Amino acid sequence: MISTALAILVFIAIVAAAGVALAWLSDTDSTDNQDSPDDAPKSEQQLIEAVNNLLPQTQCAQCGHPGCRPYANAIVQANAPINQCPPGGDSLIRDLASYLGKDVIPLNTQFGESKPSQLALIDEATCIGCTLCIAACPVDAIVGASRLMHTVIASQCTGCELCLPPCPVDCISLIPEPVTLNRWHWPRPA
Amino acid sequence: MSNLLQRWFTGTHTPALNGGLALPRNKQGLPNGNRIRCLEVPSTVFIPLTNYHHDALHPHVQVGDEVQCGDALAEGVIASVGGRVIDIASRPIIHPSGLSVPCVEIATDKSCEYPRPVHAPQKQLTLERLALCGIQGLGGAGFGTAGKFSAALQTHGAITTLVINAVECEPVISCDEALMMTEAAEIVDAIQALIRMSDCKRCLLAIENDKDQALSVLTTLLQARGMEQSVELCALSPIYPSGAERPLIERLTGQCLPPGSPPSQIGVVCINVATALAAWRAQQGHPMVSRIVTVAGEHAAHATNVRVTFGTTVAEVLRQTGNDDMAVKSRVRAGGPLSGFDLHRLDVPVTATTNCIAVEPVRQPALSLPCIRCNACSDVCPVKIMPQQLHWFAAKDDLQQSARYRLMDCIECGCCDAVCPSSIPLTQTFRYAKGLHRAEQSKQRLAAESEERFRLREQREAERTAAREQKRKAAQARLAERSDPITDALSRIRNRKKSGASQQSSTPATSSARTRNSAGPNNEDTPE
Repeated sequence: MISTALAILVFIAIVAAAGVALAWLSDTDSTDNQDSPDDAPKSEQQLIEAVNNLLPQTQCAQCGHPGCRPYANAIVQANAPINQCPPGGDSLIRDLASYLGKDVIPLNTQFGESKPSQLALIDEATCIGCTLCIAACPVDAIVGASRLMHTVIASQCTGCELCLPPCPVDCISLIPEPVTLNRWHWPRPA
Repeated sequence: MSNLLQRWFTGTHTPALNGGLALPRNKQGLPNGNRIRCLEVPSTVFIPLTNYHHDALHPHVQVGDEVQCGDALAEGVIASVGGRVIDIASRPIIHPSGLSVPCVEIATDKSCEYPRPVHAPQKQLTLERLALCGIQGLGGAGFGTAGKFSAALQTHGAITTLVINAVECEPVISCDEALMMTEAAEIVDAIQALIRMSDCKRCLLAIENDKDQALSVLTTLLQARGMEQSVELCALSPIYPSGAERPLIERLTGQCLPPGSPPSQIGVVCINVATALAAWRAQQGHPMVSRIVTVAGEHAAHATNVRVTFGTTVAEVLRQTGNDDMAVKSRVRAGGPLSGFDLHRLDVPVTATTNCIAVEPVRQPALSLPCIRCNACSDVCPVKIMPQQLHWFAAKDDLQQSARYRLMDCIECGCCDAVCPSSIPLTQTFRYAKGLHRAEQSKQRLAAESEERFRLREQREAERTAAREQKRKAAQARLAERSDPITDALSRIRNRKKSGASQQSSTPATSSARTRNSAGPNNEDTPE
């Protein structure tokens, strides 16, 4: 009789211990979940930051806003459409849509066509050194001085085309970004 | 658990490689007592102006310059022969892409100064000497050797373990084994010099236990020099890919390398045995101008190991070894059968990373079938990733999930391909996804840099506008303070008229004119 009671007591003790342990574990688990960034509610500033990080940072202003961050502001604060960024193209629209919980819509071609990545190239023989393109470049990727030849720093050019209109002698052209050894990667297997 | 038991029962301290394949060795062209043949230096050599990171390097020489053997052609690139620079132009190099990079073309004067030392011999090897002599890894990746040592010294403070990698686990390739069979004494000297230079606590020489001759010669030499205490000889079972750097270091040191970080992070420097020998030659004053290349393969007429001067074309190597006839109707590969790649053309120059030129029959790629979830790839993976899972994500360009399945830990050894019953091109898919991942990363880095420059520019513009505005306001204020000569004259005339009209009230009129003047340009009278 006593042994039966003891057995029951031991059983209850084990169950209680397991219960406490489980409760504690589930507690820590739930706090972990709260810490994870995906579930936490985001402030407007954080949202703008995240959207800005998704944007291609070409600073081309084709979206009608003076740069990528202003467009990120407009998307978050003014609910601007997410399909106004030609350099980002369809992949950016997909990313933005999934991040912001919006529908995937096709790129609005009013703002421009999506092009493969490109670089500006100054024909140095034709350049007259007027510095107008230097002033126009949003990312300071053109070097040169007044009446001296200008050139594009290829690694910093975003291919935004903003240097094209101010050039008085039309010596800037856009070339597809060349494939160099450090840009090459293995192709997808057939 | 099996590792632990094996350690207990066999007394070896090196755990077995996880997975891997026991492949037929197929090592041909070993020297068997002869010296290794040096190929003739061709009339022109081509030295690519690029490095481990595939950067385009700025040449230090111009067309027409006379160069000596060992002269720097660019940062970290040295001339393998003496002669005259006749061209600097883009040429294809040994690379899976088949892309061209600028190469220095040197017309050789036949008085090649090798093996006469170019620099003065040193008593103690230094890192500067390694860099000066252009010593880079001969194992396959071609990382600068001085860089490895200095990275370990910088990030870890000291070099704890020096690993000399003589594990040449891939079938067909036998250049390191040939070197150990012919120049073992110098290799032991080299190890001694490197231990002294690096001041390492522990030095391990890893070699496979089936390289009987090399192993016995090295063991005897180490004992004869009394170095059996300072150099631990680790004889490993010949499983592919035992020689891969990361798994090898983890096995030998028992330490786990953090993903993505180089071995220097934990103070380990791992160099190939041929690189060690090149370092010792650098101490004697010889720049690194040649390497041993295995010429072999199923279709090779004469399998052999030969010493090739850097810049010699693959076609020239095949011609001098008598394999050029077969090469026409075969596929020529650089590197071994598993980790190598097909060459697009044969006029590409041999560099420090060219360990093997394999002449193989042309094969149609096997038809890829759906995965049957047999798990064979997981079992053989030496870095414990799950290729069958990773493959789904990598093939769908899902980089986020691929990263969770440790895509970047893949060492591209090709074991999974070799065992896949459905012939799925797993390694190729992982290479593709890794390339995509790197491209994405560099895109993000560029975006961050562009944003920063855009922000700085905006700030600069704002400062400039503010300064201009301030200047304008200051000018306006100055204008306001200064009395206008026209207003003055007009008020004087007006005053005079008033004084003419009523002589008695002259004093108040002058004062009112003064107040009007002080009102400045905002005054309604002023014709501003």
